[in-house]
Amino acid sequence: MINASAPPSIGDQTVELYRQNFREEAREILRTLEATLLELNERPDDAELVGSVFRSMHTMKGSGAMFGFDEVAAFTHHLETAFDAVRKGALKVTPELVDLSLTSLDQIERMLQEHGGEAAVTEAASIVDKLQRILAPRGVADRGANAAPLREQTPAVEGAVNCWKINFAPGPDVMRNGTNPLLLLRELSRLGRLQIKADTNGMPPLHEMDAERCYLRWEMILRSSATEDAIRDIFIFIEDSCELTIESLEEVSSQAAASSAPDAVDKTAGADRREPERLAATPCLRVPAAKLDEFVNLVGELVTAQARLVEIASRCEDPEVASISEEMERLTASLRESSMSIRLVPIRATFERFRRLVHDLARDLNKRVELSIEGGETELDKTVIDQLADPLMHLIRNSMDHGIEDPEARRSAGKQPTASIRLSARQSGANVLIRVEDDGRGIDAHAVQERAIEAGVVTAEASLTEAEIYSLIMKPGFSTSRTVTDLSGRGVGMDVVHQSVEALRGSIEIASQIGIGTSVTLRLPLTLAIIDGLLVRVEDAYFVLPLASTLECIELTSRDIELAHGKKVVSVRGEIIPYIRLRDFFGVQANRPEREQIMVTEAEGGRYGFVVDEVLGDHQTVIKHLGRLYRQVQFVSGATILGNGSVALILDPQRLVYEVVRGTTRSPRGRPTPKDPR
Amino acid sequence: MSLRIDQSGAAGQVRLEGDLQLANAAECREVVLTALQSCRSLTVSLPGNSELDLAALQLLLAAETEASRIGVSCEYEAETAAIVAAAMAEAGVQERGRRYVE
Repeated sequence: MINASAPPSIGDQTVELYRQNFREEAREILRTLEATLLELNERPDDAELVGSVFRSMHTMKGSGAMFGFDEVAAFTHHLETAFDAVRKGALKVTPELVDLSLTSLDQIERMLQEHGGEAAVTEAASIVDKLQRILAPRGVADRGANAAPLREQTPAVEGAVNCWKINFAPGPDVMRNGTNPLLLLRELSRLGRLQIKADTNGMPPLHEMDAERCYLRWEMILRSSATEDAIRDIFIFIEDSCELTIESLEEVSSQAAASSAPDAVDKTAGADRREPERLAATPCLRVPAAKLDEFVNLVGELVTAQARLVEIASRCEDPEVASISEEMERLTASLRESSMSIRLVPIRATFERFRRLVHDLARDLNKRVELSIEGGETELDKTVIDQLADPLMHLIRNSMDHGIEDPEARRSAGKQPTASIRLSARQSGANVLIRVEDDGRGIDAHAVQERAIEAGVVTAEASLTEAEIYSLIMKPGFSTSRTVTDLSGRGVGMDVVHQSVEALRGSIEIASQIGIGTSVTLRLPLTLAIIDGLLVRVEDAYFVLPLASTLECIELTSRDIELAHGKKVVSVRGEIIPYIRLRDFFGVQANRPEREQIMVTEAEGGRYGFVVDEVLGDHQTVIKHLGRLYRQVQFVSGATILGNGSVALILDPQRLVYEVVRGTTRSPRGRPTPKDPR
Repeated sequence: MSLRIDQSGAAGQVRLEGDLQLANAAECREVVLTALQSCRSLTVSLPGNSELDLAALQLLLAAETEASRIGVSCEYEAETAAIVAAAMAEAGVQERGRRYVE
């Protein structure tokens, strides 16, 4: 007797993997649907948008049922019915339908999480009830009302009965990709009378067969009133990896031919359904973010190891070692750039998500707001993007609640009743600038200062610049609003923005004009993992300055110092540039050399120099975080390990200048100074 | 799933207990191959399966062909027979004079 027990978890794991993939795909569909519905709200007669919503819902329903998300499939069916009615002209797109559809998307998202509980069931029933109330007066039958199985749910298309000849040959990997072709045949049989014949000629002998490969193909005759599109939709997920031909053999209609003429909506629907196919044909891989993080970490380690190789090669003076070291350096640099670019993600998806927020808030606050998006193609590190959603949400909520006036107030102020919020992004050196601008009432700097004095945040005697006053609104618990609403007024939002941006080593700039509007700019680093740096030395301490913010390197002689009469400035081609001597800033106790070097950088809106003993050259800098202990040391954005094993601090020129200019730093003794460990 | 061959003389019974699906199809193929090589007649039972997917269906089709080629008589246990017949009909696979154990 043979007794082979397979581990039961393998099948479960496979199923869970497919379900997880479906969840991710479903979330993408939800995001697309949300954006399309919001567009449809603006252009309710756009047949292409209606077709797109319908197809997305059909896809959600079909794939939901296929992967065991029966609740999602049954619930989405009601929405699909509604938009099918819109397609056929039986129902109009109204703000009510759009709002209900948007709420339904939230419900589907909860269903995907599978921990909605009883409250979720009640909510789903309430949405379905509302949908049916919209549909019933128009005589649209919603046959899936009781979440019946998919067989009953598939809405039969009334009209002529056609005879279709269908040839279907799935790709060899169809089952490995999570599709059971038998389920597709079953779904097809629900469209009408199906005669089916399997072609088994491709089956190899048992000992040669790959048990996970598909060898069968089918010839079928379907008598159905379904359109070719409806038949094709069944195969929508595998259409690009299978052979599928659908031919009409004859028309055996019992109804007038005129009634079966496809309307304009269906024509456009058929035409633009090929769009996603083209996209699907573009080779893309879905890779878990954790794998990508691990990959980037390994590249970081490789860069560090390669720096050691360069160090050793320079000492051993062997031309062969030098040659391979150079080759390694070139390859590592390419690998580093390539790995970084994989992590860069366009910000558009994050921006687009706020259309829904603006739509909902405008409705709740009785305001009219138009959101415009610019620079959506700007790319940022995925980690940065992930952490941006919260601060941007708070900025938009603040703007909608406090900044934007209601339509009457805007009219009285001589403005258009519809306010505008502009979300934009653009790259600036090693940073990305993300700006939220509105044309609302602006921030009353005087009121902010008064409130700050009242709250004891500043003294009445304090003389503050406008920018300093605006920065007060980011203090924890600070709010100028006398009333706390659902949206804002607790003084939490801007503090969250401040903390999130600080955590990303970014900065915030606020500009505002009374009656004109407010703009908040977030300056964020492009990436948080590896940067191009310039390695410099002060005595036995090493520092890295980001190459992107460095303009040039010049020599600082005793003569230059003499000419400045004790002021820390130098004249560069006639331009007076102030400088910071890192030796003094970090309290390095040794005499300075006869000739020093100045790195001229762009920081804090101007040019500043950093005086060092020697510029060693460019350096691929793997950023290592210093840990919680140094979190308050803002002018150091991390550390890196050099090829000789020593540690170099990575300086943030922006912050360094800020600290020196504001004079906020106290004794230099507390500052970390990296020393050669040897 | 549990895969078992019970052999008594030239007759054998293959029990593929549990959900026969893609994840364990390769392993089932090995068991069926072993059974076909060592028995003159074979009864297949699939307890725990209410319906079959295409991977299972192809496996059984290939096993039937192989049995016929090497002269092994192959039958299905009663409950399994109904499930196999339903799957073959749904897939449009022609009746090959399958034999079932009453």
